Amino acid sequence: MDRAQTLPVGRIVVRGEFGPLLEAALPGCEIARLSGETHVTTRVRDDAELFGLLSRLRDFGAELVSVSVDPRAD
Amino acid sequence: MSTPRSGTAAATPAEPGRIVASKLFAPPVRPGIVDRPQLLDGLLSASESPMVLVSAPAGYGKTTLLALWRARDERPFAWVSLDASDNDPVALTAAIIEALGPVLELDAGLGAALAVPDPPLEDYVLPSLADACLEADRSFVLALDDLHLVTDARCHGAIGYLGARLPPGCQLALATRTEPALPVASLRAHGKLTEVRAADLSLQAAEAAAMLRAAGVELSGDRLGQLVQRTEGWPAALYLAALSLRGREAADDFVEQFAGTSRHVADFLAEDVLARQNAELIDFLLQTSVVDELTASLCDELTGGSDAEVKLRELERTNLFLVPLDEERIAYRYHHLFVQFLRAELARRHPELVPELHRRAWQWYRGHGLVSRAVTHAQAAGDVDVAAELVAAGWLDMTERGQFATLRTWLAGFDDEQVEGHAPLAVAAAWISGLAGEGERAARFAAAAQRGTWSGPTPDGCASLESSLAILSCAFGLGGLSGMSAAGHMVDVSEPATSKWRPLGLAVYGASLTLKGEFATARRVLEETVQLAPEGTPIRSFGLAYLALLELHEGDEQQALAHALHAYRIAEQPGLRNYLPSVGAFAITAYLLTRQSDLDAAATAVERAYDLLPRVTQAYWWQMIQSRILLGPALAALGRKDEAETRLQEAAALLEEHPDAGRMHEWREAAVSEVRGRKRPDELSEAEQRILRLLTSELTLREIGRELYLSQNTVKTHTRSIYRKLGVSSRAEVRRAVQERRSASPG
Repeated sequence: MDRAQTLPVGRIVVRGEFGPLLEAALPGCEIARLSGETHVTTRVRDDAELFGLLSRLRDFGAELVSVSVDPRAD
Repeated sequence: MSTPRSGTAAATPAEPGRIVASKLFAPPVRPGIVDRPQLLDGLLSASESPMVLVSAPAGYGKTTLLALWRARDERPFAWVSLDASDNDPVALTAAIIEALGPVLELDAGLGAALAVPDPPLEDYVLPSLADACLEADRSFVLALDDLHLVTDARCHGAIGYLGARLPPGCQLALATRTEPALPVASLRAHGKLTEVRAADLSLQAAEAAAMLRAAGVELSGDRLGQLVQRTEGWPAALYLAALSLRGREAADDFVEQFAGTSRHVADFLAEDVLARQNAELIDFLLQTSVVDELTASLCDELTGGSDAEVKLRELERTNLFLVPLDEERIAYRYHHLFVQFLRAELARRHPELVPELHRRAWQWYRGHGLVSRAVTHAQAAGDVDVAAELVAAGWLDMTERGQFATLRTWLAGFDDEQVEGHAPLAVAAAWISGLAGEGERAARFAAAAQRGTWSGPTPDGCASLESSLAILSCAFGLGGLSGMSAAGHMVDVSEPATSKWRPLGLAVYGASLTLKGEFATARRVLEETVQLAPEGTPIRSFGLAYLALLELHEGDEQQALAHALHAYRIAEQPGLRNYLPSVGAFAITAYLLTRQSDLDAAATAVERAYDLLPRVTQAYWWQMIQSRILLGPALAALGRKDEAETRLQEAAALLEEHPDAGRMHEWREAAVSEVRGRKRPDELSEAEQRILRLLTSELTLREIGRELYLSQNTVKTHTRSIYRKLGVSSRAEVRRAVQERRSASPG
C-alpha cells in the first residue's frame, strides 16, 4: 500500500469560499467550497505539518471554523 | 511577463546595511493612515501597565497602531521588527540590545559577550540587560513587532525575563498574530496587561469612511454599512476595498456585488485589486514578491529592469500596500497579508519563474554579504550546491557568534542525503552536531565527508578537505587518542601559520599529545598554540590549560599553577564562561589550587567547571574524562569525598567506553588513590622521601639541610609539601602517620 494512503487526513474548515488565488497558495490540498465555507483536506504526516498548514492559512487572514484529523484514514 | 534577464543592478552602499538595520526602525507613519484616537488614548493612559499585547490576525493594523503610539508617546521606543532570523535566542537578544542601545547606557561589552561560541545568555547577558534597564534615567517602551515569527522557547524565555524586570514606567509592547508563550494569563489576572485585540482593531463605520476618503472614495451610508459589515471591519479588507473602489465609476454596484458573494473577503478583493493594475506593474509586484525586503537594486536584479526606484516611489504614493522601512525610503516591504496573495498569484500564473526569481535573489544577497538570506533563497531555488557552499563557508562565523538556532535552521533546509553528498557541508554539519553535543550524528556526518571529495581549500578556509576533516577528528577525538594525535599531526603539517584553523588544530593536537604522555612534542605544539591565539581568546585559554596539565605531570606545579591561572582568567570572562572546552581550564585550576590549600578559590573554580560539566557531552569524551580526573581529588580536598568518588567512577565508565585514552587510565588510578587518602609515603617525590626519612629522626631542619646539601628554605618548602600530602601539621604527627602507613601496608 502507498505510504501516503495510510497517513491521517487533516480537514480544516475556514470561513469564506476560496478563489483560484488562495487555492494556488495551498498546493497539494483538496479544496472544496460549500455554502460560504472552504474545506481544505490533505494528508498530514504529523502535527508539525498540520500546524504548518494552519499557520499558512493564518498568513492569508483565514478565519478558522473547525479543524479535525481522522487518524484511521485508509 | 518577461523573463528576468541577467541583472546588472548595483546597490548603493547603504542598501544591504539598511536591509539589516531596518528592523530596528519603527515604520514611518504615512499620511493618510487612519488615526485611532480611542485606541491611542487607551494605550497612553495605560502607561503603568508593564506589558501591552496587540494580538490579532494579519491585516488588523497592529504595526500601524504601534507606530502611531510611538509618534504620540513622549517616551523613546526601542523597536525591533522581528523576522524569521530572530527565532534564535542569541540573534534576538543581539537585536534587542541594539534597539535598546540609543535608549540605555549599555556596557559595550554586552554585545560582544554575545559574539562568542557559547554566549552566557541567561546567566550574564540578560541579567546585565535587565540591570541596565533598571538604571535607565528615563522610561522607555521596548516594542517587538511580529512576535509570532519567534517560536523558540528560549526566545520566549528571554522576552519574558526582560518583560518581568522592566522598571515602573517602562513597557514591553508586543504585536503578534498568536498568543505568545508568556505568562499572559497571570499578568492579565494581576491587572498588569493591557490588551488590544482584533475586536478593538476592527474599524467602525466612521473610521472606515475616513480610510475610504483618504483613498479618494466616497460611498453612501448604506453602501458603507454594507462594506463594513461584509468585511467585519477588518482593516486590510477595507483597505483593499478602497483600492478596488478608487477611480471606479459604479462604486455602489461593486459594493453590492462584493456584499453578495460568499467568497473569502481578502481573496476576492486582492484578486480584484491586482486585476485593476496595469500589466507592467503586476509583473513588478509578482516578481518582487519573493523577497522580504525591497530595495531598488534588489528589485532591478529580480525584474531585470532599471526603474525600480521610480516604481517603488509610485507604489508608495498610490498606497499599494508598500510599507517603507526607513525615513529615507531606501528599504520597503509589502504588507504581510498582501505579499502572501502576490506570492500565491505568482505561483499560479508563472510557477516556472519562481525558482529563477529565488536564484536572482540569492545572487544579489550573496553579492552583498547577506548570507542568511542568500541561503534561504538558494534553498528555495533548489540550488542545493550553492546553498551547501554558502553554509559551508558561513557556518564558522555563525558558530563564533553562538547562533546555533540559525545554523539548525540552515541545516533543516537540506535533507540528510544532501548534507552527506557535499563534503564541506557534511564537515560543517558534523561540527554543528558535535558542538550541540550530538556525538553520533557528528560521527555520521564526518564519515560521510570522509567518503566525499573536494579539491583545493574548503569554503571555510581549511587548506584541504583532508585537513578540515583532521581538525574535526582531532577536536571530537574520533578514533581514540591515537586517531586524534594522528589527525593532529596532519593539521600541523598541512595548515600554514597564516591559516585561521591552525590555532584550533594545534590546541587539540597538543591536548591529545599531553593525554598520551608525549610531553616534549606536546609542549612545542601547545606553546605555538598559545603564541598564535590572541590574548583573551578561548583557544589561548585552552592551550594554557593543557600546558598546565603537562607541567603538573612533569612535576613542575608552580609553573603549572601560573599557566592554569592565566587560562582561568581568560575562561572566566563573562562572555566565555559558557564555552564548553573551558571546563578543562576550570578543572585544572581547581585541582592545583587545592594543592596550594587555597580552598576558597578552588571551590569557585569547581563551581565554574560544574556549570559546564553536564553539558560537555560525548562529542568531547576526552574532556569529559580528563575534567573528572582533576575534579575528583579537588573535591576530596574540599571535603566532598562522595562527590569525588562519583566523578571518578564516571571517569572509569567513560574510559571503558573509550579505552584508547593514553595516560588517563593511570591518572585516574592515581586520583582514586589520592581521594581515598591511601597515598603512601613512597608516592612522595624522591627529594621529599629523603627528607621524610630524616623528619622522623631528631635532627633539626637546618641539620637535615646540611645532611642533604640543601638550603634551609628548600627543606622548609619540602616539609610543608610533606605535611600537606600526609595531612599532618607537626613532626610528631609525621612520625605517627608513617608508623600507621607502615602497619597498614600489605607488604
